[in-house]
Amino acid sequence: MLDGILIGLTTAFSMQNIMFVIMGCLVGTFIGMLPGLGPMSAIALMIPIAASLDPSAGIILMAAVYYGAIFGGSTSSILINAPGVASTVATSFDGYPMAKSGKAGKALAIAAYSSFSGGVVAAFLLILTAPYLASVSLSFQSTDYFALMVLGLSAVAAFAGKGEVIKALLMTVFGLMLSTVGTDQTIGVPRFTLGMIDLVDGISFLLLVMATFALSEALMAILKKVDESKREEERKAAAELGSMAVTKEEVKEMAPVIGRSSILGFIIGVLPGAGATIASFLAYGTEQRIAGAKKGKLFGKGSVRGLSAPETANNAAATGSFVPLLTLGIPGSGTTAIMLGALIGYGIQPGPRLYIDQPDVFWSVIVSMWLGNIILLVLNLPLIPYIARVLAVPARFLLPLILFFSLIGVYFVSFNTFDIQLMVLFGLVATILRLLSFSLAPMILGFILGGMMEENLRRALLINNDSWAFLWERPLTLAILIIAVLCLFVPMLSPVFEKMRRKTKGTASAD
Amino acid sequence: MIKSLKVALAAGAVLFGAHTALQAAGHQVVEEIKFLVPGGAGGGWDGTARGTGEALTKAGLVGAASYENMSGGGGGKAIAHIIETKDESTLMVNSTPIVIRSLTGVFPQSFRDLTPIAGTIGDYGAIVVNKDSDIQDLAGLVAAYEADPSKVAVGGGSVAGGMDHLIAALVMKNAGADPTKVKYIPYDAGGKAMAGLLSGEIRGLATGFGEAVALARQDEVRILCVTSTERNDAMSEVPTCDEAGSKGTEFVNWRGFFGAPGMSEEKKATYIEAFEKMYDTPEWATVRDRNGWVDIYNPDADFVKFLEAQEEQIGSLMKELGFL
Amino acid sequence: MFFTKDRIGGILLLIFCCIYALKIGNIRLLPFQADQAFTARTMPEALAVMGIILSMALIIFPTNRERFSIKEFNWPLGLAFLLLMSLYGFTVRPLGFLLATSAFLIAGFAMLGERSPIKLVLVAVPLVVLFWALMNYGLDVTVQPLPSFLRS
Repeated sequence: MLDGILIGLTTAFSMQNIMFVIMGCLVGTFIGMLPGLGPMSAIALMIPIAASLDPSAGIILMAAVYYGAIFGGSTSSILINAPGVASTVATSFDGYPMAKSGKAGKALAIAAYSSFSGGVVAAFLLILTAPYLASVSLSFQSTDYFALMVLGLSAVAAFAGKGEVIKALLMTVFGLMLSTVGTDQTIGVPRFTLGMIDLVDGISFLLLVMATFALSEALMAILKKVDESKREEERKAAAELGSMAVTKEEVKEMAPVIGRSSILGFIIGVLPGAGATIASFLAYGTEQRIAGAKKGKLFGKGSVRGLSAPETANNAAATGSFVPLLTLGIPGSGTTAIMLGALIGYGIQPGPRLYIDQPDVFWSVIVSMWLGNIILLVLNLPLIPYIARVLAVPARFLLPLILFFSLIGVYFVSFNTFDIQLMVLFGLVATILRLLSFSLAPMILGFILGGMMEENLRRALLINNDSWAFLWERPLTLAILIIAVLCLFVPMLSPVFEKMRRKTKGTASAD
Repeated sequence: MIKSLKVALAAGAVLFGAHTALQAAGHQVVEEIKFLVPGGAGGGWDGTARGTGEALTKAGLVGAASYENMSGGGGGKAIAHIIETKDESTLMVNSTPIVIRSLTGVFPQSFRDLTPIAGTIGDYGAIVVNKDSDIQDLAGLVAAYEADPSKVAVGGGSVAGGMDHLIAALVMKNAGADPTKVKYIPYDAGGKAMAGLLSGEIRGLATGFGEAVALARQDEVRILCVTSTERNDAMSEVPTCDEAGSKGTEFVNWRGFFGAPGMSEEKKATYIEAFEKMYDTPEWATVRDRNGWVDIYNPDADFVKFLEAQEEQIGSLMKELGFL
Repeated sequence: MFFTKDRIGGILLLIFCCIYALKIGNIRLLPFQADQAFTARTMPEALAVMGIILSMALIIFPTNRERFSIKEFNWPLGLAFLLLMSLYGFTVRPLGFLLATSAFLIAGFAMLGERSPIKLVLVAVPLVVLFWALMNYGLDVTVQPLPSFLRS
């Protein structure tokens, strides 16, 4: 293994390759910040360039662009509450409140440190466990994926504040309902299209998330008649007071979060089809539960843990998704599917033999992950103050620009003007729901997971000839479902446990 | 170093938007093509249009190519658009689903409402099993299927009634088994269906031959047969489905181009000439190999005949399966 | 004190769930699906039931007693922006990207209180042109820049 790493290092550390990493990180960050363009588009754009390079250099370039784009996506999610891809939705939960309270620089720095650590830890795990994990992930069947989606949904319990469980569940159901619009993915019949041809393809995730987060955020600001001058001051404060320094206490708080979330993220990422989104939501939910009553309350209001957990997990999951790609040749996500295409273009077929036949490729991918993460950190930290300046733009210019970028981010993907009208509608609905103090995060979660959950369940039922017995007969499925149920109910019962614990403690000390 | 500098410049061009028109040798056949892509940026149709456009312009056969994306309605939006504008310089990319979707009524139009120019690339279907499977050949699969259809789950990367389901049903039907009993398990992408096969939850898989060959070379799966009429050079030990006992099975998943309805014969001829010349250019070879495409050229009247035959084949099969 | 925030939201979502439930009948069932345990309608049916129960529960047992006051918000401005966005959706194709977007931004800046016409144009137009150039030449995202009557 050591000589493998050495091969990778010597390949990666040529002048040319380091230049590619730097360039890739910059271009990736820039593309990722543009609304609607995520890691997938960023990589797709690099293919023609990468195709003219030798395989190792091409892969290094693409990996760098990939990590850059993920970081860029977090940036827009933190600064203007516009998560361009599903995996950065959870980042906005605490990142945006933190930026709003004048700590934009710190929020971006925490995001950078977290994704860096997540990526590095996961790349290390990748080396240690790739061949073994490949065989485990291979044994995951539709029933297990269904259970995994249920586990993902159980994270809703974490978003729900005290006494808000019914509302959170109702919003989850609302999101699940929206996910049923469009062509049924199992049998191919249209559902809830209201006879409109534009709804046949369903509601795109990007559209929904842009409308409910970015559009409604800007609309709320427009609706609230805040004194312009006061607002100006606020924004100036946000842009300038934003110290990037992370205090010792915060580091202490982040370290265990990063440790846990990298491992969780990596494991989820290894499963084909689960990916960074579920990882980020699960990490967020898990941390909120672990944080305890006092710290848990800060979640959603700018908690360091709440920002660090999803950022770490989504980057770790992105790295984890290379396990099925490199060891089995199976792309677990859209991004890795594009990478697979590029690899095949070089005449490299990823699979069990890649490790043996072409160790230089295998190892240069791994080393390029480390390199990409390091360069990203070194390049982007100094840029943060400039990026954060976005917030200093006066509201009368910034708000229409946010509206424009969200509309165009969706339009430039589908090129269907109906989508703009649909966004206006969802923007209105989301704004009303927010004014009524309904949280939108459970809705998005339901929407993302709903389709996959239904598909996997129906597949499982088809395979098992309409018998539901797999739910309790397959140990893996059962185990995941039990964890999901615990996740859902333990937070509700925790006050009871707390009381009991106090009682026993009280009696113990009395003795 | 010069090579890396060149690439750096290319990357810089992407970043800063410097665009240089490439002047290539070769004589121009068509002045301008506006490609209409019925899906969003980054999909299969988008890649086909942009790749073809790149090869055509770089080879100098076409003066300029531009691309317009228009998603919605499973491609129906774009079809309605090209019929409405009747613009002769627009070519729409499409593929096998146009036949399936007009049959199921996703959109009211069919290829008859357009001017079919040519099918340019394609892929054959394949039936695949896990390499550890006890099923050695197609006859083995059919025997297991006839013994108990509910124990032979066959997956694919399309919805039930979609292309992969049709491939599986067609192969079974021509092998003399009942196609309506095929226990088809839909996945939302070919890659995920492949993962399902390797996890053991399905016993067989209907998928694209290109994708199957890649994994067969890694010795993870075994290809039972390919839906072409002749053996394929990419893996010549794989028998055709016809040889393997599924008599007369032929299925091509094509991609090709359509013009607006009522296009003049002269204009159509120039497009066909451009495509025909494209196949011999190194530019096309580069694009094709980069994307792993297979040349299946099928111009003009042949294309119409082919589409009619495919519509007939798919239509009768879907009726038999109960989707129509 | 009946109309608390929770109740208003609950009623709105209840109405949505009912409409959703009514539309389930429009989902086509293929004949061979009739005997399957899980059809294209099963999930929507389960969701409709859950949605109706949850929204009723919310109406009956609201936890948030806060009332909703309509007065503190600038509704005309909010609605004007919704209209402006919708209008943009209708104009971006016929008028072309450059014109429609510039108009959208100028109107938006002006509605939020920017009065200087020079500033309006100087912020909006170069930004739109630059963005278009970047998309078109840099990222190969093609969009019609000009209105239909100016195209070649």
